[in-house]
Amino acid sequence: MTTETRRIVFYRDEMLPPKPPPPATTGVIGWMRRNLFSDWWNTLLTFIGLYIIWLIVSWLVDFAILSAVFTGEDRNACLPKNGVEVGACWAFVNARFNQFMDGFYPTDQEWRYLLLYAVGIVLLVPLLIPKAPYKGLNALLLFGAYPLLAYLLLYGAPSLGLPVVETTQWGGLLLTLVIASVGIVISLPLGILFALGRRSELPVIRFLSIVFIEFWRGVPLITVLFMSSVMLPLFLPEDVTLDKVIRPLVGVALFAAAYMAEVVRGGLQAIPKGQYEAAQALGLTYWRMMGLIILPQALKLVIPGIVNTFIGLFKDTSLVSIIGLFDLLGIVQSALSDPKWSTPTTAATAYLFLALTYWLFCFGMSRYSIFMERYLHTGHKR
Amino acid sequence: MSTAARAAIRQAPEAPEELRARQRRLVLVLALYASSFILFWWAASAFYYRSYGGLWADLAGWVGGILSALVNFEGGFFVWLGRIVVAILSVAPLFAAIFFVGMGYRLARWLRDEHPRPASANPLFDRHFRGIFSELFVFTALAAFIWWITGNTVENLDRLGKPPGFEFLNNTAGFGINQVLFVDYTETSSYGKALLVGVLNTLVLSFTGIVLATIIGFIIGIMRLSHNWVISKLAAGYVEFFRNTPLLLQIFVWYNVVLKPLPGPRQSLEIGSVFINNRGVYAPKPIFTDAWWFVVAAFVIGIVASWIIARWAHRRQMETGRPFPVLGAALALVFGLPVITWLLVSLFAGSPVHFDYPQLRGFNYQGGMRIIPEFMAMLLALSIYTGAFIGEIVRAGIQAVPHGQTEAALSLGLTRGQMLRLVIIPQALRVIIPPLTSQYLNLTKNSSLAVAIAYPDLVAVGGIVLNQSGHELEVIAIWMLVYLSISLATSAFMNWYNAKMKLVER
Repeated sequence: MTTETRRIVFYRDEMLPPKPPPPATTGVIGWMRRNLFSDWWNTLLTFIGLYIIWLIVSWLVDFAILSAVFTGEDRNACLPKNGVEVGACWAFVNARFNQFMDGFYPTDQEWRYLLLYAVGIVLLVPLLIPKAPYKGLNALLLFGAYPLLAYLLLYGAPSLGLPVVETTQWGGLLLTLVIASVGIVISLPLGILFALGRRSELPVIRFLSIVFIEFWRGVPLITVLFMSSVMLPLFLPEDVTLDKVIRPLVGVALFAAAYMAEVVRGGLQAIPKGQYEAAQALGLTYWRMMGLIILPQALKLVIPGIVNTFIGLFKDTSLVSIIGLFDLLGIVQSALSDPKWSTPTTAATAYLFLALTYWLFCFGMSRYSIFMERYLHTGHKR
Repeated sequence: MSTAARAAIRQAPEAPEELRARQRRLVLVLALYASSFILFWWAASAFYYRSYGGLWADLAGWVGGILSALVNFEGGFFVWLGRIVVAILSVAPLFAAIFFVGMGYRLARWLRDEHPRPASANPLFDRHFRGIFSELFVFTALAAFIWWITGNTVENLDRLGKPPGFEFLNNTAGFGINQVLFVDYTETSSYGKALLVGVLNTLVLSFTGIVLATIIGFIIGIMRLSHNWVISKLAAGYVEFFRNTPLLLQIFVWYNVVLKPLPGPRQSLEIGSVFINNRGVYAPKPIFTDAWWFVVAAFVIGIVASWIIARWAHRRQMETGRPFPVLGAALALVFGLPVITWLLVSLFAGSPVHFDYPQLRGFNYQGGMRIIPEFMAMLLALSIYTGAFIGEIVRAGIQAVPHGQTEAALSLGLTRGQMLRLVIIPQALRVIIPPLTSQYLNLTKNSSLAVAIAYPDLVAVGGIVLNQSGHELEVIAIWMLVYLSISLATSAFMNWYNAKMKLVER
């Protein structure tokens, strides 16, 4: 058979040169083909999407820049000109900018909170950069010395030559930042304690933690704020009066602590039982086991959740305006009722300014949490 | 340790140092227990007598309150709710007594050598003893704290001349509410009735908000997963913008910037017979005649029939493998039956429903159905804000289903629709539902921000009641109780649903 078979053998001596991929699948055009115009439905969606984006962007550019009014003394600058409505009334924000930043803080004392911001940034930035050295000292300064400095600078100390600025004069972004940062600093340790309490083997402590957490999570923040501003004075002896700014702080901190506790509990539950057993086998006490083994792993797991709670807390500080504090939202809202600046676009401008300010803080925090999550994601890297 | 082994240890003669250690433990436990018990009892009794006269008088008043509330609903509901609070507070010493009995039992067990330990060990270094000790400490400290607060409150209320109690809810409210649904409310109704209107408004707002937010959220979530780059970035931008600005600000924007500048009634925007102006949205109001009940009955029959068909089809498919187009049949039954009934009723008895159209009279519209601008602003703000969060949840849920599931489903020969319905969605829902629940609860709680633009929800109405009557304690207690019950009820329902969905996984 082999002799009969005429074997036609054909083979190449060398490899064919590789062909370039068809131009329609590479480069910008290929990408657009795949992601934007793969079929008629996709093409339609692309055009609808582009049209929506165009509507938003063109409106925003026109309103905020092209037809906006940047300078002016009073409402006359921002009234419709020749029957044509003008855009954003930035002159209003400009005129009130100082008030938006610090409420009624005396103008000659403004350097005090500016200095505080500067020190805060100097202490905070190295703490946020993972590679920066001296983390322990840094944290000690930020959480130990800084609050003291903040109190001295913001409230004042006549013995040091700093006149007292009553908290009723605080407001604007300053007050928002004070409430948010105190809330953040108190709620995290408190939340960790309640999370540990909820996972505790001791039935009474566990029960009390559950009641605390579920109570605060079950009621809206606004009722908590009403409670802290109306009921807290009733709870205290007659001769003790709590400052008007401290009252909502108590409410905000406890409220955030309950949410924090649930986030931390999620992390604690994700730690394998072997870790607990190993720590106990090493003879560690409860607090050492938690502090050295469990919490570092658990907190690392829930960083996104913690930052989300911080973001929520930061946004929720705006609610104190409802109980009559002049935080950033409250002071803008009260400035809007000024007839001197009453124009059709004042409110929209002020809200745009507010939205941008809040958005910058919250978006910054969320980006940082994504960065930290990637940075700490060491266990499963391949 | 087995019983025999323990008995052997018991019978062994005790060394003197072991005996001393045992005695030391006993003294320590007794001293600790007695001191915290005395401290607690002192606190509890003071708490109880200083605040509420007597337990039995309270209980009697409470039972009477329930009976009178059942007989006379007018405002009685909240009087009754308030009494529950009082009753829970009054029986607090009873809970404490149970606690102390339990603690005594645990200490006794600890003393009975259930845990082996060296004789010389200091009990303060024993894990179990420390547990009991810290619990007693925490509980007693908490009780003392509550006693201190209650005492202060009672003293302060005395000083201000405001006796606590929920009886003021029967007083005449004297203020009008601009959205009253389901109940009759006038200015002469009671505070309790006003609060009830507030609760209903909160529920209506939350419910419509939840429905709308779910729709928006699912659209946004699916858009974010789209292969179309423009669409997915558009959804991402939506999420990042609305998630990172305060809800209160968004409410103000919708109310002050979007809805207030709408034209007045005379220049209303018209969409069919719906009129939109700065006083609200006016729509035709359907008025149902008695014949409408036939349509409703047809609808119910349709639902029941499709349920029966679904069960039968499921069983037949399990037995024979032959599928049945359940969805089509169900749609035909649920919507077809009422429509046919409607036509039949219209033929023989005249139309079962006619509309009351809004008419422009003078400066405003009369008749029809009015949706107040406060409601529209709240609804838009709540659903758009929560929709951003739900969108992220939906995206995460769908992404959590491994791609292998899609491939497996397609290789089994399922169509894309079947794959989505039978494979992807059930698995995604299991991931989606728990966070979705908490978003629904958030929306409900956030509806309390209505107070900022005076939409008459529970908090806004309660705020007026609080200011008029001066009963802060009681109004805040009602707020918290109502929101807590809504939260607990929702999470109970969602836990049940979650458990049901979990069965999909074997």
